[in-house]
Amino acid sequence: MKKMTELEKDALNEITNIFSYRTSIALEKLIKGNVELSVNKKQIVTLDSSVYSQKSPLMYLGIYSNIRESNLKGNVLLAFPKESALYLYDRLVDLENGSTKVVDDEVKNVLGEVGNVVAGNILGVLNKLLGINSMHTIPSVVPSFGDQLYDFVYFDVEDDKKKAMLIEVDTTFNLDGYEIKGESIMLLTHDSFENLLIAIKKKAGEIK
Amino acid sequence: MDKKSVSILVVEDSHFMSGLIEKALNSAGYSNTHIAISGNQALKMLEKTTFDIIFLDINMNDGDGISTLAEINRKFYNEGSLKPKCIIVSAVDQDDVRKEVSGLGAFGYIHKPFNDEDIVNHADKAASVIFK
Repeated sequence: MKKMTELEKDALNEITNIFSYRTSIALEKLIKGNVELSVNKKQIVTLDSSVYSQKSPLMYLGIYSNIRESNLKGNVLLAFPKESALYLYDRLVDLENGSTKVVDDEVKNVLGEVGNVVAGNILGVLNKLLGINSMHTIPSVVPSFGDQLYDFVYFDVEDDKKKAMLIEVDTTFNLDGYEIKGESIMLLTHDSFENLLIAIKKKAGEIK
Repeated sequence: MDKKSVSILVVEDSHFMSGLIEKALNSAGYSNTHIAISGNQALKMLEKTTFDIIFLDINMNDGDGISTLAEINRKFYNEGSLKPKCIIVSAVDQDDVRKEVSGLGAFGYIHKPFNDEDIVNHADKAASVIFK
């Protein structure tokens, strides 16, 4: 990957801040409670050099949508440790914390809708800020996300997955005293990431 | 206007989300609510039943809500407006999509996540137009 300019870095940083904020607002409305957000780590790296090219046993459950119908191609993903995923489910359906022990179809259905809302919001940010049109598919929920991310990403055969770019935000959401750890991730093909940078430069008036 | 007499169809493939919408409507007095889990099921229900208001998701497993809206538009566009009043409820937040559904006669657009008030306010607004 070529070195990013300060403008590109600044814009991507701002976009990831808005991603996190939007996710937080989405959770607040879904659980009808207070959600405090703290961002632990942000990084933009190639998929090949990310932790997700290795096994990531802490992240148990993944919710991912494919991005389609635009000049962006890739995935939007949410990843949670099992405890956080189950706690989030219990909160969403008004069950006592610890009531749910397994990720069954019902849990997948509800958490899949969380993924749908978050993916729509994240792509909405790119539309509002940069004028990028995109749609996402119905999310899939993968309860064994600790396996390699490569197994779940959807790219065309000709895309080089090793060059794919991963925008990762490691976040802790505090829901009324209980901490939910999670990561929101946007994974883009190399060409799509370049398109994103071009859109940033156009928006900033650096290019026409 | 008696809110109980307003017939409302919620078209949503996530039963979690349809439950939230129905609960918000019921709490506000709109008790005549029905659920369809797909666009196709909604179109079949519309062949037999008349609804005043439809809350319609876009991103669904069984066909997308935009096609469903287009089909409702084709069948029920009458005297310069779409009856029933269709309110889109979607996580999709793209200007082009908003324009497209507006062109197909959508009465409103609610962006997920929503508050109960968002749902009820749109229902009130649609009902006040229908029963003016």
